[in-house]
Amino acid sequence: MEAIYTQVLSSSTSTVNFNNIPQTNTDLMIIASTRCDYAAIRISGAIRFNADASSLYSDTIFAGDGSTPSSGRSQTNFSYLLETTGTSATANIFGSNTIYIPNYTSSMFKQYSSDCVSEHNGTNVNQTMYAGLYRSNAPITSITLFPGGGANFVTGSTFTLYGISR
Amino acid sequence: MTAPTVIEVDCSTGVSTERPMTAEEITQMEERQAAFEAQKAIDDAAAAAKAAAKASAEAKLAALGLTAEEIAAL
Repeated sequence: MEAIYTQVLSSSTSTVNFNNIPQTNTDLMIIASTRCDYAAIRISGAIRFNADASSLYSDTIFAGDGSTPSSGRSQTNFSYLLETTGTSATANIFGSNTIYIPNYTSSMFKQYSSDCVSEHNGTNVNQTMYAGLYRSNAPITSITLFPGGGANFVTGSTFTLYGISR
Repeated sequence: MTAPTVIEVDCSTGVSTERPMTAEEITQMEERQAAFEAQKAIDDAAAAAKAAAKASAEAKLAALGLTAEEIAAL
């Protein structure tokens, strides 16, 4: 496993793009520590591949907040795959996310998954697992990450892209 | 208001740059925001309805003589 790049935000930004991803590994992994300026304890974030904004994405979510489990599905032009804290969460606390994308250079459809927690020193902490499908045969050469609700990732959020060879 | 920005990481060179969002990107972000808020309103209403139904059911069970522990065990 090798770290391809780590982006640490020194100011707020709406979107983080990893471009020209080397095609020399078998899998990709992203470790993201995320907080955003949305007025809530937590909010989901999303991923998009190859700057592709067509409706080729679907995802399944399974979540628990310590009292009420939930699950759901969505199909749209991006995949929810992140949990990020918002402005109502305890200060200086960030969501923790591990995203795994196997076989990203494959000519088959791309499956991926993530294990996320929104973090908060109180109730309404979400532990969430996502599973997603990108129905494209194109190898993944770029990845876009953004928080939901038109929010911005804030200073201190970090994103590390790893390449993994099996 | 400051324009939203995008971080562009070029993994082939290890260079990261920040740029303002294009008009098209801003439009897409606003569309996502509207869709998100609409879905959130639906989810919030569903959650509130579910909580109200749960409270109503628990009140009816209590009226039948079940204790709080018995209701929680269901």
